[in-house]
Amino acid sequence: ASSGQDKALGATLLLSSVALFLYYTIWALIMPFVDDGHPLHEYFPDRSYAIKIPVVILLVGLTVVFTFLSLVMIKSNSSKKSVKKA
Amino acid sequence: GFSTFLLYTCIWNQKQFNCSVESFLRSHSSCTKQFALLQLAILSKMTKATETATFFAIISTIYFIFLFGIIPLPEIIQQEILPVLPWWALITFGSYSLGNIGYHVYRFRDCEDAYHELMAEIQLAKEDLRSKNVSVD
Repeated sequence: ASSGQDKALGATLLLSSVALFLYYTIWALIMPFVDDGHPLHEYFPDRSYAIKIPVVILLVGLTVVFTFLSLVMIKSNSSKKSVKKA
Repeated sequence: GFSTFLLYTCIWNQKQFNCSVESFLRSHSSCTKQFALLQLAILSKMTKATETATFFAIISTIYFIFLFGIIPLPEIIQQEILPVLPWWALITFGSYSLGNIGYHVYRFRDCEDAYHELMAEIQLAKEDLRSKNVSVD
């Protein structure tokens, strides 16, 4: 059986992913139908953020991925050049 | 060729999660089903990439038809939901990926023999590549 630490990590990931999905689904798809006076609105920020936050996440993610890719390519190029010179 | 590689990858992936022989054989049948599907797709000249691209093309066409009002949608509230849908799909995909990883990490059963076997195979592969003048590690 996997270690207790592994199980805790897996369970945390699973539960947080479910929580994230439920929160975002309610925020983006259900809140437009909820009347303005309803107390539920207190738990959710302004709906313009429902678009701004995923955009920022996507941009940061793509930046990280492409930076990593380019670093690897530069490294392999420089090692190829040093091998050719040698 | 490629489909056989995918079949072995499928079996190898499931071998990690199913150490016992019976569960391994059960999962093996689903791999053969996927294999058969893939062979059919290749026979009809459609690769997995083409399949995915076609799916995305169809979905985005339908989405843009509704977004640009070519086919009008009933309520004004729908004009609030449509702009959010792609981002919702992105978040759903991200949380599904995270949850899938978390679930398998949670349910992973340590297989001592498979671990040692895998380490030995890695060593063999590294030595083989080194002998063919590929820089490894």
